[in-house]
Amino acid sequence: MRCANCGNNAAKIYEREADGKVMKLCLCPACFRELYKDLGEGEFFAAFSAPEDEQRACPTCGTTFADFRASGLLGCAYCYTFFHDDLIPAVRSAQGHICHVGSAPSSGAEAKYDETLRLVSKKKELESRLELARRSGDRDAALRLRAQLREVDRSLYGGESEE
Amino acid sequence: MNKTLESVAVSSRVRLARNFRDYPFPALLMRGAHAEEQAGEMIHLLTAELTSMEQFTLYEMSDIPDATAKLLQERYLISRDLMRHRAIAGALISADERVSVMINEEDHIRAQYFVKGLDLRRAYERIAAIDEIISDFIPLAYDPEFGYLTACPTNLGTGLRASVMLFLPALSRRGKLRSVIPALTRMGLTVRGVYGEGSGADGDLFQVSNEVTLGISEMDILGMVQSAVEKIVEMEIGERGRMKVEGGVALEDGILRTLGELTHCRLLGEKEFTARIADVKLGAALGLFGETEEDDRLERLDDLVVAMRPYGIAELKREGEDENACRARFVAEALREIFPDF
Repeated sequence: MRCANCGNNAAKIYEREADGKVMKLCLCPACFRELYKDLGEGEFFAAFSAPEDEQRACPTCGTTFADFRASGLLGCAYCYTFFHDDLIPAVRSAQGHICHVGSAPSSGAEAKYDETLRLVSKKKELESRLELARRSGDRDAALRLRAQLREVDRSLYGGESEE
Repeated sequence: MNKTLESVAVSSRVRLARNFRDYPFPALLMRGAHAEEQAGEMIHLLTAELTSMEQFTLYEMSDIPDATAKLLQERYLISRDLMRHRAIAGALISADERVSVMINEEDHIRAQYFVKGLDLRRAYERIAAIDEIISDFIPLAYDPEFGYLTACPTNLGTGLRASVMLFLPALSRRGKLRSVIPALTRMGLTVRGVYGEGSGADGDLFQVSNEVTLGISEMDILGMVQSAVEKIVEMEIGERGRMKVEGGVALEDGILRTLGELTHCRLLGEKEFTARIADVKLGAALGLFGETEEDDRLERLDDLVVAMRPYGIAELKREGEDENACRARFVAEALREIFPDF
């Protein structure tokens, strides 16, 4: 079978997905490369050499290097540490640099974060208890829970500390 | 604001990409068993901190009707990509619609500030203040080598994208943009047609932004985009001058006829409107409608363009009124107000 584009070389069958349909293309490798060189982001990153074991997964989120090659996206912040050396060529190619020179976040977010997270879970818990109290017609409990919820909302959204 | 500059640089936008350190990036988060719970936490946390600073409206994408989401998209307040993660996505939008914080788009946080005209530094200062509040209470994904960590390596480092929307009728219609684009690409900038490149009916609007985000400081990115834009503005103004001289009365005739058609038609499709209003804007920029003391006519035309998109029209339609009829009526009224003597 000859290539449908150049008519000279022996063709291979390539499968391409477009608009949800799979198309079969009879092309030689050279014509395929030439015709489909406008690669998407995932395919763009796939053009870089891949690590030997592509199925090695990030221990935090389970993303493999093959996943990154397919989508162009990493799974979590830790992927950058886990795949560090393998990512350098892609980062260099996309950015031209591999070292950050801009601003850094302020440190010390942890304590405030934990406190806000605690308030958010408390709010959720109070909301579901309030819903239960409403359903069972327990008006006293509903009033009490509503007051507690207001308190939590004030702490969360009003910028005041919880009493 | 310099009126000549503003007749080219329509608006400036600076956005920062940030991620929570301890959550999977959105595309993965969405596939997890606790996606909605985790997203709920993130949305609550950001809402709590940001609303303590100023008034924001929270839109939880899973709760709002399609029409509201499309309207926000038309007004550049959210991106199309945000809707891909609808179940876990949200947006906090300030009362003046200058700040938009998208939650769980490609990254957990995409915060942007919008200003009219060319003022990237002010836009950056405002969004940096919001970023400071965020980073003050959320442990962010950051690495000393790669900077702010993002789902895609193309946004690493500063996570900063500075973009300016430019109205370039003279450079684009006279084929001069073709030589500008490669030069900008070499400088690490990209140029995109706002409504789709080279479509002809693109309203002559183009967006210039930085491509590289790593290995360059925030101030250097802003400086690079600013100086490129200033150069393009200078070229566009020069080209407009030549266009006016060479076009003569025929150019004036064409533009005034367009204004006449827009103020007297009964049906006006979106595509036709986008192309024709660009002619009117060009006429105003060339001074064909005379000069006025407080000249905000171009700005009002830009606002009209945004208001006349399909979901904006849906808000204005009378009962049973056709979309194109509503657009024709509204545009005619607005143009008569903007150009009372024409």
